[in-house]
Amino acid sequence: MHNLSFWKMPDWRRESTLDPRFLMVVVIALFLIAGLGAVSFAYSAKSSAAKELAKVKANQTVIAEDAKELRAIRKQINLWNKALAKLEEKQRKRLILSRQLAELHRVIPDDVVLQGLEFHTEKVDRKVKTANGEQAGKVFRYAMSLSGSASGDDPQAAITLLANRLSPGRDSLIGRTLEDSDLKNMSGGIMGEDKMSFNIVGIYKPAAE
Amino acid sequence: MSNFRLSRGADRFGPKKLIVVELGSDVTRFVTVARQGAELRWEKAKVLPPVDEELMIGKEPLVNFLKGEEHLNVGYVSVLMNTGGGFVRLLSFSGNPGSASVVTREVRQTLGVGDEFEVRHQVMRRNQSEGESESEEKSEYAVLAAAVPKDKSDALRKAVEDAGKTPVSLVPYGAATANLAETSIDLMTNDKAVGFLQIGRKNSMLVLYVAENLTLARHFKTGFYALLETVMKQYGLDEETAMKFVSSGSFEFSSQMSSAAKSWMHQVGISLDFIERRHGHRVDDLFILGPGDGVKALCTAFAGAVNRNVEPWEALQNLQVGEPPAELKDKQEFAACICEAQRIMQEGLTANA
Repeated sequence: MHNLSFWKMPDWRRESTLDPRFLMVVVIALFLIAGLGAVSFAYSAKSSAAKELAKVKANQTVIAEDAKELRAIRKQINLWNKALAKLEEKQRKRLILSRQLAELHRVIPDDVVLQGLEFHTEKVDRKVKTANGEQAGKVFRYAMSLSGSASGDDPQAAITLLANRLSPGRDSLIGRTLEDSDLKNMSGGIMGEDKMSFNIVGIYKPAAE
Repeated sequence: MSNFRLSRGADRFGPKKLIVVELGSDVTRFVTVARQGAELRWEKAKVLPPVDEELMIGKEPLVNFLKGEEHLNVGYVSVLMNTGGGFVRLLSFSGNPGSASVVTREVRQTLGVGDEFEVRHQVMRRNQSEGESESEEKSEYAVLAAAVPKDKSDALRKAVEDAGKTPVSLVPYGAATANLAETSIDLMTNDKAVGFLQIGRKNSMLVLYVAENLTLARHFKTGFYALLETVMKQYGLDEETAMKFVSSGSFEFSSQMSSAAKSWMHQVGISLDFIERRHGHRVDDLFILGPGDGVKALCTAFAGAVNRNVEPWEALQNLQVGEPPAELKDKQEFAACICEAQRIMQEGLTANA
């Protein structure tokens, strides 16, 4: 047969297959869809996580409130502990002073006359037992300073007796509560004088012990 | 994105469905052919008024008919051009054919067409005649040439593409007639010289074969209307009534033809005589493919004029296509369209098997 066509016959192999450009467009479109899907998924996950976070934060507000309350309570506890410690301190102070004075009255020999009595407190570094356990801190202790004179037949003996009665380890209230004592000064009694002066310093144990 | 289709309208052998449009001077014919494997099936056929210069059928553009509902699932269109300034010639050149460009130049020169025409050609055969000496040996070759106005070709292509279809082929009607004749190879046996005359309303195409070789292709600007005119004038009938009258066989043409009709038949006779003289073969048979019931009257008229055996040309019987649609009255008029469809399908099957 004669082919005198003025139009070019289509390439039937190409007509019957997919145009590579079309395939490329489809592949690119699929990648775009996958990409958009991934972005959408990521956004959805992020959004869901944000919601979850908001929920947790909202819950946290409640927890925060509880925590605040707990903190306030703990603060209160600490305050009370401090107050308690102060009270204990005060209690120890009152106890020591009142009882010590009473005991002191009992142990001073008759031949001794007190001319000066001083109690002062000192703060020293010690580990302190508190409601929260042992903590480094400062504790106070009493220091006692006695001055007076002794007369009679043997003033030195009377002073020495007093010093012994005020030494730590004695089975007395003062002995159990003193940490250290020192007869600082004994003077007088020279050339048969019948009066001697003395100065005794006693260091009490710190309040915690 | 024409590639984006749910179903593919073609396989590697060719289109699965094809519309062939014959643009005639008097009618436009639409034929839809389907292929399943290697089998062709004739699905639809339709005749409409002719297409004008603006590619309009009546008030509707050709595009609309191509886009029509009945053609929705057909993606490919072929066009047979039997109007619009195209033509076919069988040319003879001495010597041997050179390159395709050389032959094209020679064809253009011989046809006398400029750049406003597109030209296609096919070298048919080369003849070598013996002479008494070397210098007297002559060689010559035949070229089947076709020319179509470029703007018509482009306009038709655009119309097909605007309809969303893929253009497959644009073939001048003369070449389609030659292709149709070559399917009737059984009529050309024993080296016979045979003529095939395809007659339209106002034009006709004669192809002559000697020993199965195309030896003449001639176009006439006269057709069946030249004979009807005689009856219409003589009896004061309209064309339709005259056609019925002629078809009935009641009218005897031989003595009552118009001068146009006589001249036409005379020219056909001359062509037959020319081939006989040139090739030394008598053209015993002339087969006529004509309009429906009027073909018998044409055969009688031509038989008297050319003094040869003239018979109706049953062109369809040699085409390998299934049964035509039942509602068709005149099936033979679509033979050229069916033949073109068969050519395209067979070419694809052969090339890509």
